[in-house]
Amino acid sequence: MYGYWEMVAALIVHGTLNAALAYDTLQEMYFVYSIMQPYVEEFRQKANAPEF
Amino acid sequence: MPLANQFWGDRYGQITDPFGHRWALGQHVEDVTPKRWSAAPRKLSRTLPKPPNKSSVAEVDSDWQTIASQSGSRRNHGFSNLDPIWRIHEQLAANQQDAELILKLYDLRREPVMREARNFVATFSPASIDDVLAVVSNFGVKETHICGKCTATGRW
Repeated sequence: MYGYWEMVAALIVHGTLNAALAYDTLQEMYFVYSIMQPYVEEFRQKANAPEF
Repeated sequence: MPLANQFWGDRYGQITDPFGHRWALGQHVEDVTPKRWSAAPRKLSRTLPKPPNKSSVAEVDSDWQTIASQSGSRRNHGFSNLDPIWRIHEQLAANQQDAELILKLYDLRREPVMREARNFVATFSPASIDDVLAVVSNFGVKETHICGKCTATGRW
């Protein structure tokens, strides 16, 4: 699930998908990110995955 | 791109968070009339870098075409201050390819396993990093499958 949204975010960051259209149509992505956001930095450290 | 009221009627900007993620923020603030649209290129041009001295519009236009072809990207934002509004809008607006991709992404989310994953995530409320790691690291349990393997990229 998170990998799916990670892929979508990559499409936006790399310019494949229009950012404004994504913002208007993919609100679920922000909801999913909000659940994990408080733990992302700690996860990077504990999982030794700085690129995550 | 600083947050500001844009000529197309949105307050819009882009920021980069400390992790390098770029976020686009936007909110519709006013409806823009066609008359104001036609004035937008002149207003926008004041915020863009000036092109080198050129003797004619055709010469500047030729430069723009060169930049666009070299970039290989349909989202080249290297506007000159002589671009007509339709060309600027073409660069910023979503097109049919974007719409088709959105619909494809929607189709993927309708698959049964993805629906199950969404139901789990909607109720997943970790109280600590340990709750997150418990789900991620317990290979074989259903929640790990949902978080880790139900992905289009196979990552996480």
